[in-house]
Amino acid sequence: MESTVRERTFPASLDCLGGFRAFILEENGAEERLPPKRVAHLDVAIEEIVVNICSYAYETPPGKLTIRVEESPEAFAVEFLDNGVAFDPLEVDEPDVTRPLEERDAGGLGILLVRRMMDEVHYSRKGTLNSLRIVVKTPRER
Amino acid sequence: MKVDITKSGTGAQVRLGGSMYVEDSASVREQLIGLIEDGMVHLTVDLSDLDYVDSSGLGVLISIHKRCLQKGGKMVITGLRGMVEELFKLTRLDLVFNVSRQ
Repeated sequence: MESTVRERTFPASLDCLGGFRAFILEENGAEERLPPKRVAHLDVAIEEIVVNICSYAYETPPGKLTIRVEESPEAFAVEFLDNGVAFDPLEVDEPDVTRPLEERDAGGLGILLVRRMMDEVHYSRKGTLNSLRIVVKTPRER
Repeated sequence: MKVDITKSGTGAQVRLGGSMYVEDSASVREQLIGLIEDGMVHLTVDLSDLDYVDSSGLGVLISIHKRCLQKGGKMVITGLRGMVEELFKLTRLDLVFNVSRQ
């Protein structure tokens, strides 16, 4: 299988959440190529990232969100590109999940879940764009 | 998603079912806060029919738990399984919530 890249640009709006999900999981074949558990992990990561971008990236929403899906024999990768406020979610301190619940804040769990569930998470600033790239490695065929 | 509430004195059993996406979380939060404000501060939240929850849903459970404690009550989680249980473990919420395995 050769590597393929497909991308689509959506309004950065929560109304499009179903569209983001369908584009990544169904049209690009994640549900066929990855085990169900990994698809579920990807589903959580997509929602967490998209909700963050749609809610916080743009001072005057909705902006745009481009999703680029890269498939290769080794991995299924999704890059989220927005030209909102520069923000590296990987620089934010992870919530201390060892603290008692009474002392814990309800925030910060989204990016924690993304980091725990994905095999790789990368942020880069590309000109005026925030690029967040998540990678799920494809299981080797036996 | 589905939310079934059974009230009893100062307590209530809340059964969440289906998928709890970000758009559902605010509504669940309002319903649970409504229960607490009506004096039902001992909540049992049954997640056995819940297939999916995201960080906004986990955040709702954290804030409701705190609110119950502030009002002298308690929130107990039951029915953890599958993907939802995995998310609880990844965030270590399974260790800090009152989780009943029954």
